[in-house]
Amino acid sequence: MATSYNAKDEDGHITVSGPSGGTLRSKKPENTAFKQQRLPAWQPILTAGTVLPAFFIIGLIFIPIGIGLYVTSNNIKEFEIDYTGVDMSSPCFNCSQSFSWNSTRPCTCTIPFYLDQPYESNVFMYYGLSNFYQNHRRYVKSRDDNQLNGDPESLKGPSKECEPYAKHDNKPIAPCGAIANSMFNDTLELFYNDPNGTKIQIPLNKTGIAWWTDKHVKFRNPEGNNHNLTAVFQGTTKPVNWRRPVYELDDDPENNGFINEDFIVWMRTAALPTFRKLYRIIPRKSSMVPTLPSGNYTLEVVYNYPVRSFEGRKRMILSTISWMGGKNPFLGIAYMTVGSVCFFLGVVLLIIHHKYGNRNNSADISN
Amino acid sequence: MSKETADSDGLTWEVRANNRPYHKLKKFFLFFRWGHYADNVVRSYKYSPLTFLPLTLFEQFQRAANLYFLLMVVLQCVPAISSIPWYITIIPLLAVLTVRGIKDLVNDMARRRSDSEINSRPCDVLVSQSFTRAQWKDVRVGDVVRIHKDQTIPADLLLLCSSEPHSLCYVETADIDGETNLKYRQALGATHNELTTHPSEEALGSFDGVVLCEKPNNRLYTFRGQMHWRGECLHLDYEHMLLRGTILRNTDFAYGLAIYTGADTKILRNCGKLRVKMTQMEKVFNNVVIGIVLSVLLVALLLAIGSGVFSSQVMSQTGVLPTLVVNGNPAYTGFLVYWSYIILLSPAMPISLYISFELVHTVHSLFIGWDLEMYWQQADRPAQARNTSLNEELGQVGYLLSDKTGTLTQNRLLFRQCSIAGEIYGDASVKAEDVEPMNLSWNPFSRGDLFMSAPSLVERLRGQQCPLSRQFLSALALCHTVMAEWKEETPVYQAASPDEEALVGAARELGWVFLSRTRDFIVISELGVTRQYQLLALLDFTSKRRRMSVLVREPEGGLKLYCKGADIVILERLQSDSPHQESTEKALQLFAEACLRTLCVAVRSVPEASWEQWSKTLTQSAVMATCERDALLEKLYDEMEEDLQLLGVTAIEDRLQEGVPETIALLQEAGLKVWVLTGDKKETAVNIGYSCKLLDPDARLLEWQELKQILQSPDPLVSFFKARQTELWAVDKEMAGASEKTSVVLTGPELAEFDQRPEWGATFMSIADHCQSVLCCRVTPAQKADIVTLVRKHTNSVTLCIGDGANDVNMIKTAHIGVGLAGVEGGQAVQNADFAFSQFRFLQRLLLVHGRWSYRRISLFLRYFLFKTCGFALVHIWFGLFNGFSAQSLYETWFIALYTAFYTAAPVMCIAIFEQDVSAESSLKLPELYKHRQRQQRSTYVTLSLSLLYAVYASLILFFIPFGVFYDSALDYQTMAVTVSMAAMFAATFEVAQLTRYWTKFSLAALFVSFLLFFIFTRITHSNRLFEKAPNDYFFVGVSDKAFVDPVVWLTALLTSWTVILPSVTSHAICVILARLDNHKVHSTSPQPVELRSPFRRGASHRRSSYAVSQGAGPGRLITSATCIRNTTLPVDEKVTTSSKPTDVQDQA
Repeated sequence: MATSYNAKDEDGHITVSGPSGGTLRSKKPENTAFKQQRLPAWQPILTAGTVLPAFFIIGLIFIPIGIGLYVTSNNIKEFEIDYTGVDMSSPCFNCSQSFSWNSTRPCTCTIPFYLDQPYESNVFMYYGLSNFYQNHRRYVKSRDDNQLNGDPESLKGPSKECEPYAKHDNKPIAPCGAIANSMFNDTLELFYNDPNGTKIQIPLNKTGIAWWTDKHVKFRNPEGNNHNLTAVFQGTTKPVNWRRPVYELDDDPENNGFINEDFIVWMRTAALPTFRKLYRIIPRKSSMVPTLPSGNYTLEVVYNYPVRSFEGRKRMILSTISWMGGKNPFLGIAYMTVGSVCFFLGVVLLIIHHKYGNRNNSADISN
Repeated sequence: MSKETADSDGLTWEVRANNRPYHKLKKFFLFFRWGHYADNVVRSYKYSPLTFLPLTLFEQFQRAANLYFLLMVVLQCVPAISSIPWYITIIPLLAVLTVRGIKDLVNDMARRRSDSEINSRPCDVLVSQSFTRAQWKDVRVGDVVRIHKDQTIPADLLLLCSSEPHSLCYVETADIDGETNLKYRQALGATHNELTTHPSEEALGSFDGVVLCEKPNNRLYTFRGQMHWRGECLHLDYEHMLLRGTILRNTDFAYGLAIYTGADTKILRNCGKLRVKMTQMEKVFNNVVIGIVLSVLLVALLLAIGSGVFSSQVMSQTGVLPTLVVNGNPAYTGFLVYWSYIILLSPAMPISLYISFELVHTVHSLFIGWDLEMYWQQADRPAQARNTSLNEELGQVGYLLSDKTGTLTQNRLLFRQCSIAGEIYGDASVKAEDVEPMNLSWNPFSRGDLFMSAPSLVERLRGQQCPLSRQFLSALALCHTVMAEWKEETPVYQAASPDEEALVGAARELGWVFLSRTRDFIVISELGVTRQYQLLALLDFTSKRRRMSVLVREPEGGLKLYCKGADIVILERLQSDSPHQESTEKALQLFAEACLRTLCVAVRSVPEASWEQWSKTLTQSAVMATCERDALLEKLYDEMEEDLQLLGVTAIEDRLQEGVPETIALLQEAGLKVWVLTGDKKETAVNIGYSCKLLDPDARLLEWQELKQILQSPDPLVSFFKARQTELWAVDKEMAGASEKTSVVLTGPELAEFDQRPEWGATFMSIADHCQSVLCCRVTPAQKADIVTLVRKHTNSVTLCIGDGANDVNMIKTAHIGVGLAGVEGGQAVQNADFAFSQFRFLQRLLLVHGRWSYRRISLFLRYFLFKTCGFALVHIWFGLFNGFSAQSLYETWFIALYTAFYTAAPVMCIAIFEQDVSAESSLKLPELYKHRQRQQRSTYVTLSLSLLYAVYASLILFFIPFGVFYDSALDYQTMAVTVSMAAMFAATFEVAQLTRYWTKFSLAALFVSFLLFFIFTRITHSNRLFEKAPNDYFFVGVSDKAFVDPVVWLTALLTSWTVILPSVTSHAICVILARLDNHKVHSTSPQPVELRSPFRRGASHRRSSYAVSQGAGPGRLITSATCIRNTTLPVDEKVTTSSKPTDVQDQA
């Protein structure tokens, strides 16, 4: 229904330029489509004939998407094991009794489990925490991005936001703040119990788990090129709950200090109190052999992280991924639901249209 | 009378002539009476350079919204609670304050300019024995002022003397009461005699009278006072006053003593207070805003309590969180979180709403100014929206209250037709402009302003065939009170009544030229033959008699009585077997149908004997007491005006403004009640009411007596309907069903009774609601405003007042919307109006097109704005449930800052500016569409509440779908923030897209630009470079790189946004299916031609004959005493010697 007013406009311009050609400037408004509110416009005329199919089409688009997502999600293999040790029977029960962050002796527990399906391609190993409010505002704020970006001043004088984890014993804490202080410090190791009896440790990649921008832009060690981190962090102290200072997180200088990937992953706070974070990647060895063949495994945990103090849970998750990331049945179901609702609304509207619509329209016309 | 008794009389205003120090003294010594005498400066401006900043800030922070935002800024500056940085609110707040301040300043400057233009008008003030040219603002109380011809009077003056004999002077009061006829004012005899005998300046300079009078008041038609001068005490009344705003006419000079100046003057006292106008929509919206703010406070309180509870639970644990509880005190933490949540939820009521709202209003106002259809070529004047914040109210007007003179009528009276001896000349169905001018070149006095084509009449007149038509014209040329002034060899007529001027003018065109008059003689030229008639008696017009006559002796010696008057009065005084009576009545009928004002003209030959008898009685009556004399005179006049012979009928057209009847019909069809408020006489007003189709020819006029009975009856409405029914029963059985055929006609004094009986107001309004229209005549400006107040008080409707003169200023200010017609003169109404244009008919476009569009656009705008901001901000409530009630934001701070301003502003502005559901043409063709807009406030509340509910739903969806996706996933908080932002932005944009019905290129561009801006700005704020500059402000670095390529993020955002708009789409679809939208209806029926209301019925129409001279007595007394007949040949200087003797008056002929 786009209408053109070009002809009118031209007419108008002629009349405007005629009398106002003199010295006296006329106050006559300009005859432009904009000023006269006659802009050419497309006025879609919606009728039942255009509206009703829209609902069915949306429904018909959403439902297949939902099915596709759901199937994709279901094809992702995922194994989850809760090693919090709440039950007396749990191997980690003893370790979980310690509520302290800095128990002098590390506690170790071993959890056997069985994978009934082989895991192909790369397998991702996550740790999951529940009831941990990583999205609490005071917690989220409690960091100093300047310091983490390698700013030497902030290293020595952390931001106020880090309080009460800014200084300890009058020494600045590096890295400061509550997030860093509460860093996940369990060590998880995975062993494959070969049917012939041997216990093979599965190699876990501890790099490549953080975002590229985080590793290379957001987090930097002070004096980036200096590999002698001990010297760099001279004069600072480790976060209170840590067992080791930040410069001893790893032997690899590319994964030590602030750019330690475990640390970076932890610092990327979760959205909701139940979350998982990438811990390790189990690379696939070759296309012929599954990365994790089905069979018996053992998870060895160096149990440090006291989640029971806040009634939290800890989990280890093994998962393959697809184009849509990890397992996520919700999205598929949501798409199917919304699609069905649209479809249903379409049907309801169709009924309304047949029952009332026609009569009303004819009444209008007869008016 | 001594001064003491004067004081007790309430005459406490003391004015000493030529004594400036006295009036000044009071100002300084008694500080509590400071400004006792106002100076003559009009000050409508508010600011001075010093006071501007504090005043404007004070004014702006009186707006609750601004105060609220200031509070937000202050809160955000407190680090402990600031959940979003402080700069996010302060920048828009500063912008709002600046823009608003500049706007006020500009308006104030304009007021200053117009003030100074008025204040610097010239006038002559007497300073130490000589008149010096001064400006209006220099006039002080007690000054003697000289006014020149055609000058506007600068202050309320006491007329001391004038250049005219008897110190008479003429004023035009059109600006005060809307009457265009000239009024006479006469100075006191004492001042006239004393001050005109000597050289005027000296005499005036030594004048030392003391005037004691009432305090300044707003009563235009009364004045009480005394003048103490030379030991005498003289009474002063209204007749001696020259009011500010009136114009001196036909008088070379007048000298006056300033009594009231500036703000004390009667007209300014009548102006009413300037009030800030606010649209009903705005009021409702403000209440909704208050509601939102209160709910935000409540929700924040609940969340704060949650936070306290959560903190105390956490306290019992060990871990990181307990150490984060402030001071280890959960209650204190809760307290801080309360404020944090207030800040976090404040974007629900963003300040940008007010900026946008104002911007939209401004653009709508510009559209009004740009409208070519409302541009008046003749005056080169486009329409003007002076108040830019009332546009949507134009779409809801329920009552139109209009002035008459200059607004409905052009104030031009044209002689259009006449009927002589039963024969009709001229044709009123031809428009006045289209009348073929007759060849009147034979007549040296013709000025070519006769809009009647009747060659046959001219032929007859010149052919000396028809004695009746000759007599008819003699009557027109003789029977009047017009004065002739000679200018450039032609007589210029000065009439108290514009009707008379038209009649005498018409007679002149046709060859019967009134040349001059003295007390005893009238000289006319009949087809070039000058004849002198002796004027024996002038039987003056009164509103009761409704006729006037002159008794003249013809040059041949015969006595003739010429009479003209209202048809009913004349017809009952005719000879019993008067010829042509039937055909004349038919002509009367015809003229009435054409809405012409008619007068019957009759003649009688008076025998010498009866004249002698009669004049003897008349002389006797002169010595009688006033009241007895009046009764006797009445009787005497009655005796004389009998046995008349009908000559004919004149028909005068009171020119309406162009398109007035059509506009009124259209507006009535659009559901408006049209009332006319005028200072003019009842007869004229009713006549105009008929001619502009305001009154139906068969409508019943409900006048005061009847109305009073109805009002006094126990059940007014019932008796009203009963009265109406019985009446209609009698007229026409079938009409009983038809409603709205009654109109109320009231006059000012009758309206004054409402003051005593306030309980009548509501009843009157409910009766008026059932009437077609209401006409109020003889009302003062203040009364006009009172009527508006009455309507405002007793109905919820929006009132619109339209007027053109200073007398309309008060009502224009009082109404919800005031419209000023920019007339030929006087910009007072325009100055005070909210909208101004040149033609009454532009009103239909203003209301039906601009108003309707504005209303639709603004209601769409507000609804959508609430939805988008609340939906987006309330997400934090739900997020709070999952982050320990910690006031953590779910969005990046930059997104919050840019969301309303950049990501979602453009499309909604396009809706608010371009949206048209129906084209301008259809709006005018289908006035019923307007009715839908006059809904009550309640529905505005309902729609706004519904959109709030919708916003709550949106926030739930916006949070919980992403929640499902992100729950127990490896995706972090920042990715979720980007996802929800994206979903919110998409939802807002989709919603606006599905609201838009009028897709211009701009709307489309706005949509794309919004998307583009979102992606560009998000990428920018997430960029490495900005992060490196300020890591603590741009800590979202790299998030969008990952999120924008993540299919889960996209799928989530799309699903969420679609689910958000699903209800709105569905309800819209239901509307489409049920075809309830106006839009659909219009488009489906627009091919059918819409019939404008057919021309009004011509059934049993009533004759309308009237005579438009002042209520009360006419100026006949002045003529017969010859006080107002002046000598035009005498130079001014000699005039001081002119006395009242008629012999001094020279005969022009």
